[in-house]
Amino acid sequence: MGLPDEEDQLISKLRQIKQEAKPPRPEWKQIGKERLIRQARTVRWKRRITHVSAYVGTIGAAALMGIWLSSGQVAEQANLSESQASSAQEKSEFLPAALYQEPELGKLPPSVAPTEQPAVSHEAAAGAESARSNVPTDQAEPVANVDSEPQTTTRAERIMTPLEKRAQHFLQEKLGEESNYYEIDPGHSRETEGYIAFRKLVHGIPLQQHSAAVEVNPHTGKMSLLLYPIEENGVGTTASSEQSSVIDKTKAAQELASGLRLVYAGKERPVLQYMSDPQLVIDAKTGKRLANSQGEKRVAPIKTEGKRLIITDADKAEAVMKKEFGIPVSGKAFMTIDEKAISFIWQMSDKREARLKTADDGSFVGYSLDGSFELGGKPLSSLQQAQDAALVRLAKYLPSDVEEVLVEKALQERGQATFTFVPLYQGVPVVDYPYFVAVDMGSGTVTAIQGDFSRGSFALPSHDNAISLDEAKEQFVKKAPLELVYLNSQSDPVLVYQVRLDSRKPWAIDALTGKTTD
Amino acid sequence: MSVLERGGSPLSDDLAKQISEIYEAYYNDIYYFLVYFTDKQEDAEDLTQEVFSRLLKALPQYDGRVAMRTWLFSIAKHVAIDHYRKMKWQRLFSDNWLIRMMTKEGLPEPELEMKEEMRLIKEALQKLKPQLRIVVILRYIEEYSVKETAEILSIPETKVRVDCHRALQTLRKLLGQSIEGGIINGIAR
Repeated sequence: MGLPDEEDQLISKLRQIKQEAKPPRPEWKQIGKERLIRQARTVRWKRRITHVSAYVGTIGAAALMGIWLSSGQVAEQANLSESQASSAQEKSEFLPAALYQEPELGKLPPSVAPTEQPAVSHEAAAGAESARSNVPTDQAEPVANVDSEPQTTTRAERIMTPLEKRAQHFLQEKLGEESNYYEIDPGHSRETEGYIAFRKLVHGIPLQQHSAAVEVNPHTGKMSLLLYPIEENGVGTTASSEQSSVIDKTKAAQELASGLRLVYAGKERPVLQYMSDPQLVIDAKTGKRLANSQGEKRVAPIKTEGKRLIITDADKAEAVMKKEFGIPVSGKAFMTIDEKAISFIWQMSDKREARLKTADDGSFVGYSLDGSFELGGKPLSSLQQAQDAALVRLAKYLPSDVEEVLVEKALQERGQATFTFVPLYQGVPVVDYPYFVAVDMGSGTVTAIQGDFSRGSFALPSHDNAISLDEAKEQFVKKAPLELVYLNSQSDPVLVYQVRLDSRKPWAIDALTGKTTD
Repeated sequence: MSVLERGGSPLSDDLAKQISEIYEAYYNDIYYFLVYFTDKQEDAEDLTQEVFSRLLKALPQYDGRVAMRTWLFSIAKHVAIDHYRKMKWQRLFSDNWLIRMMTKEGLPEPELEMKEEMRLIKEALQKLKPQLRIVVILRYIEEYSVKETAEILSIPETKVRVDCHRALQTLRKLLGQSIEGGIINGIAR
């Protein structure tokens, strides 16, 4: 380098670039913001839909699991009783799972180990011998012994999708050996959007929080890595002692089984399933449920009308907004049309925007308002009042054979109450038909409503032939894949048991056959 | 709500409002970073949009452990590098690029000397490898500390120092090739 004053001169010149730079154009900034807000609404809705509706089974994974189990290579995760945990501690001090594998597997992180040779996790390794003798070779065969271990096979049994493989490879390329400490987190990936999530392993235990993600541009195939620095203070430092004092996994499974509920799952032809609660986690030390931030789910009665709205053009859309919903839209709506939906959008003065959405056949899907719409309502003072307002609006368009809805989610934040309702058919939730309603607390206005209003009624099979809840719980205790994770809540990380998510679908069993649905 | 959100994400709800607030708070920071990087207002605006769009996808998982500014800059870095790669190929076949290459030889009037000087510095900056360019922008234009730059780029502070050294050295060489005489030559000597 040259003399220091030369360097200073250059740096000084570089600083002047700041004064030269053109400021952003306000109009573009505003357009960008509006576009982003629209995108946010779409993302949010897609996530909600994906989360609730993605329950269709992945038969292939189940078949492979069966093949793998029958090949005798399964290493059921050891019961982390004190003695076994101590043994694991002596062996590994809770080394990352990858380091606890066979040499050839050890080259790969647990999530990329070949599926033909599933990786053995540290927990599995700790008691693999005893576990092997307990594992049924035919998973489909019902086993009466309720004390048998819950299924705790490793993630390696999952076959990675091509996109996951690419993302994994990219992560390895970018992080080198460090990538061995990450595993794919299918429960939080959004593969259709090219988003593969990873979670970090600390002493072999996953941190159930965002650690890294690889984004693959669906158009160009370009990849980028989002890597979030993780504050590991307090996580895993006392892993050995923490893990030696965890409760018996069967007890945890029994507690988690209490979250099972009978539901109709599926969109086209809903089927009866006993579904686990993906929100439910058990404190691995105390065995108690951790508080669910969404509160208890409640049932609310509703008098539905089953009215169907068909919107075929912009004029009809305007008429529906004004007459049906009393929303004074003005100006010509512009339309956006994609493969499955048509949106009519009115952008009005004072940055107000109204949007009406239909399915491709014109069936009403929902509307949303942004900005201040004075519709003559009164301020609401409680969440219950907002819920009443939401149900009044919803009732008119829900299928006529729905008499109750489950309040899946009710939140009040920043002057707005938002609800997710699921209809009950003969007392059983139809989970793939969620209805979202937002209410402005200040004006009592229903600012958004969205759901599938294309059905005049539900005609679903009776649940008389479903197995009992006790039988379902028994199956759950035997088969549900539990895992220990660190949950980083507002305070210190907590070691919890949860049902492992191998996809975005909650774990479930067919309520008629008792078999696991994958 | 996902398990992650259950973990207490402060940004788990009301995505549109949240992204809107973040956009207002950090738009300029990201825009200026990208305008220094691309030296083109239109590109910077498009790329800024891309940054917030990418942020939006990951926002529901944001749990506040990383400062939002740091997170945004780390996304902006990727976006900038992606853009660089794309442009690298486009330039090979672009007439405009040839025109730009030619016009830089035009000599300025004396009163425009300062502007010309700045033009050459900007041009030299554009010729730096993207990783070095990003370090220069953050350290010397945005005037972040070594520590802050390291944090944004997720690299050790020592690497920031080394990259700064290399970048300045390269800039001096580039400026030395660009012009003879004047302040620039003084700097580049």
